[in-house]
Amino acid sequence: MCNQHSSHKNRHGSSLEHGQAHEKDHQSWTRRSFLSTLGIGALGSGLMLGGTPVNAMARTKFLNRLASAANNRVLILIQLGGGNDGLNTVIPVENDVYFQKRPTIAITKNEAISLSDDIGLHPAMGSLSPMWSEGNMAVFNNVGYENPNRSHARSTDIWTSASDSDQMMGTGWAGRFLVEDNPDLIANPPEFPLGVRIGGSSTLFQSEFGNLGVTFGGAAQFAQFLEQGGFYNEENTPDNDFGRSLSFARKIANSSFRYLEAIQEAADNSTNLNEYPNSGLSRSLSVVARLIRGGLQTKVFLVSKGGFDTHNNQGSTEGGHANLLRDVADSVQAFYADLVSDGLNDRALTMTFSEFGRTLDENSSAGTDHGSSAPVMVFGPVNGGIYGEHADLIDLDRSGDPVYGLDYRNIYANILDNWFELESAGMSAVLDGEYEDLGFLNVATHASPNSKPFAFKLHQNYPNPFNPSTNIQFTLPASVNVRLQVFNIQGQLIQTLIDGNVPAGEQNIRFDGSNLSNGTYVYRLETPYGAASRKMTLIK
Amino acid sequence: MNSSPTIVHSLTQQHTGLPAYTGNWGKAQASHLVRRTHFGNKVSDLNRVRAFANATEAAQTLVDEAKNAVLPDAPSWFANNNSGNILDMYDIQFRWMDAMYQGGFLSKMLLFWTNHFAVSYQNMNDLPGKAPNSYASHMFKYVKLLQTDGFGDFKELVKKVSKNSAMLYYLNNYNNRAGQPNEDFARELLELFTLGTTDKNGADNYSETDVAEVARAVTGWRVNNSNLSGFFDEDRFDATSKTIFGISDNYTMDSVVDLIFDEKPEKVAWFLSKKLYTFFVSAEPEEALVQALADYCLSVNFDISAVLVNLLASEHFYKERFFGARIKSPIEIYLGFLRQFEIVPTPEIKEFIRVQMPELNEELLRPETVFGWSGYNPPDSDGTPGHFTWLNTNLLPARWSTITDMIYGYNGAGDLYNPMRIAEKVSDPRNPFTLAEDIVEHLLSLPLDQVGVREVEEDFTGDPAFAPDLSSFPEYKINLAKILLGPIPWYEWTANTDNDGNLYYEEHLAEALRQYISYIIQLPAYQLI
Repeated sequence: MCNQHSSHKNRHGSSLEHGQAHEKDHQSWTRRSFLSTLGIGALGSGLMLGGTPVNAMARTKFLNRLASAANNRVLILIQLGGGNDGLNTVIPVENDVYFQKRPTIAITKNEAISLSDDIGLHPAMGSLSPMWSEGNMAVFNNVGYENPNRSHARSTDIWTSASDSDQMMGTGWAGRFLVEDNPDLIANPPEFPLGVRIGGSSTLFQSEFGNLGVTFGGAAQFAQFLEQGGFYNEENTPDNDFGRSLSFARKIANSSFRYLEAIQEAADNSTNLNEYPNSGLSRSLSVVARLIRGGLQTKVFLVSKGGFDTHNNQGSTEGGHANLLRDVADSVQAFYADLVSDGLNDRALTMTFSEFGRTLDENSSAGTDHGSSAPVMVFGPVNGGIYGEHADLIDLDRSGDPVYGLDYRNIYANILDNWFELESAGMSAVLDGEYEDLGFLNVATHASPNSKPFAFKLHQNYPNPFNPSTNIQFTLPASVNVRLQVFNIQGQLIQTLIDGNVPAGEQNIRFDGSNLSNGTYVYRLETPYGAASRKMTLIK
Repeated sequence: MNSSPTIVHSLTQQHTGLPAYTGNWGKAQASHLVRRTHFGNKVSDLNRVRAFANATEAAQTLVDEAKNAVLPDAPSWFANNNSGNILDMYDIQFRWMDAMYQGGFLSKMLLFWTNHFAVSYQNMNDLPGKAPNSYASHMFKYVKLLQTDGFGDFKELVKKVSKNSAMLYYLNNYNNRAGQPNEDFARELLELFTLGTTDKNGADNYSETDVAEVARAVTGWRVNNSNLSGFFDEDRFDATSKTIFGISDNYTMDSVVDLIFDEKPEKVAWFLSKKLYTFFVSAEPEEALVQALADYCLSVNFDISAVLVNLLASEHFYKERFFGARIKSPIEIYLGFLRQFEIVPTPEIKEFIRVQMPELNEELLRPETVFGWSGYNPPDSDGTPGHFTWLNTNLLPARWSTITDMIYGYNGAGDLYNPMRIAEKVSDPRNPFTLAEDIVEHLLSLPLDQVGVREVEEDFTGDPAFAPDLSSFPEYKINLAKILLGPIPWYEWTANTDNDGNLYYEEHLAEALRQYISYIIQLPAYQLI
């Protein structure tokens, strides 16, 4: 609510006293106001919250900086849309079955780039050879999951949500990770986007608090965004009635985007230090490199390249599939050549994935159809090499395709654990199950001495929505001083429930909203380990 | 009683009003009429309105239906006892939301009148000496009056509203008595209900003396709480002569309204016409058009229905530059969303909307939540403010997040929305290209090439050998299809057929559509109606 108005006598709908100046006042006043939202790209309930007290905010910002200084690593996911033919990417060059089943498209040992005695890489990916030989590339064989789904959309959802084949999850694995990584997201949302997406599946960044990814349609839109100061062009609207209204709505939308400044600042601070090939994927990666170099604190980026659904004349050493892989290889090579110029390559881990591999059998139109497992490639500061066995081409599934050897979530788990150093409680909130350490990320080398300790957990209140009272639970690792407070949506303190020493273990606090009006409230727990906040809804 | 000199107006000349629209009566025109007279475009309303022969028939039918509408039975709480229960007040809001959802022009016109004759329940239940034990019942009667008389004679409406118990309470006229005049109602009668402070040339329409004198004329009115009516109490009436607009007489409530309409008919007609224009056409009124409407208003003796038909059937109303020219008010955002997607407002959803609306600066029947300015429509003679003040950098993201709550069923906003039925109604859900375009056309008011869709650089997912033929597609349509499809190759966007031959859709198509809809509702263009 706008308190600037409250001093005026209520005139039951009389004229606007301040006219245009007033309107302008509102905009600038709100621009830096406490009220924070995820802005554009938010799906689901955005983060609407008025300010927390300034001192509390300053304190958590400080903690956030500490946290990000402890781990400034980023993950770049390259989505190969359409189902990449893994068997022609990482090739079993000594396997007779492979050559039998693929009479025209198979690639021979002589043609392939040798990764080992019996495994070759598609010859179009030659630009990756230096990274491979320097140990900056890990190849995981035969990655997939139980009961593979062969629908593009469904299997993409599985890979991006990290769910079982028959499990519907509304959130993405990166979305869940970013929530765990930012426990005070609700009361103290960051000034930078937690995820940046340039193409690819929006499910990846979906979270219980909305979509955490900011979306660009491509490098061209990114350039436009910088030029216009937002996603929308305020200038090119017609000079007529709807045009003026549209221009106004665009202007408000642009200034509502809370990450505008952070992204602009990062872009202004940096340039690309290497030439990139002329392709969409390359341009997307060049934007990512620029944002990393410019100091944007975003940890997860998603870029994508489509066209891998090669049912038809996919070619062999040359042809459609070869062109796709060449672009991937050349783009990744250019990306790291850029990052290595000032040592940023040590902070950037890049992983490719695709919703499925393709059929072992070549089809009648010299292509391949939707299959099962496929290799995953990871680039950057890894222990380079080949992980896992190549697919068994004899003992096949009912469709005649390989049975997966490594669950795709195992790679995610290792990244969360060893790259992002997520503590175990957080791990279980992102991924179900236990996963072995595959050893491709060297913990000893990369572990930060200041990694965040396992601290505390603030649970969702129950029941929610509630009337008139509800339970708030939290867990502490030790007896410490904490503060648990409830705020309204304007950020005004409603009640302090706890301010003092609390023993270790699980605590259960009852909150009574009898005297409050309906609406959304935020409860926030401050501890020596950091703060966390969640929303709750009172409906009488 | 009124012995003022007989004024002869030049009403003999019959004004034909604004010229009628005679062009093609197509989907675009019918959509525009539905959007402006309803809360958002519901497919069934659009189809029905589109089936009329022309704009005049369509506007006339909508107005006639609203004028002759049979109101639903009064709620049992109203029939039983006087109510001062806030839940019954909410019930009035909920019943209105139901009526908005059902459709018809009546609910939109009620929004216009509740702004024009603004009354807040808050002012009646909170203040001493008012109606803490009966305000919900008074408000119910107030709403009913605006529903039953809102399409009739404007002068009669002013008189009836002036005697309505809720109005008497709200503007403190129930306390206005001889010797102790209270100017609250008198001022608003002139400023908000009939004349406005100044005329179109900026000259004062009345003086402070006029306000004081009108205040004495409207003394004597009280409220009977048992039958929820205003009544005249001779003992409180100031029966002496008053001088208003330079004319002296022993004016009363009725005769002072007559005086305003007799003495300053052109000014009343201008004031009302301008308000109607800004509410229904554009926040930037064109003087010549307002004048033509005002002339017509005079010639039909303030017959509201006739004025509305003239405006809504006019050539001017259907100019493309007005499609999307108004910024939606919060209730238009919420009910418009429900109607576009045919999400029946359950008690849970209505409660969600009721709770969220004040955070967007509007509450039905409680205008002071807009603090000093009226957002419902621009009441000011300058036109523009109400419209722009609905959006700022807090309010816009709040709109986004609460609508996405309703799509995903978060925070008590109902259930996860299944968009496949509406996809079938507005398009062929099996064709992603037409579906992407048809959904946007259903949701937005602007010409589609003006919308400003994200430019997606990447090619369509899928086998390039099966690339879709896009040669006839405009750029925005290609981008929309890419956004809808995401990781799904266009040729795999399909429906399945069950054993009975019925189409059904995989859950991931519904999710892709939800994400697409979430994107569309965050386009700035979605704020426009």
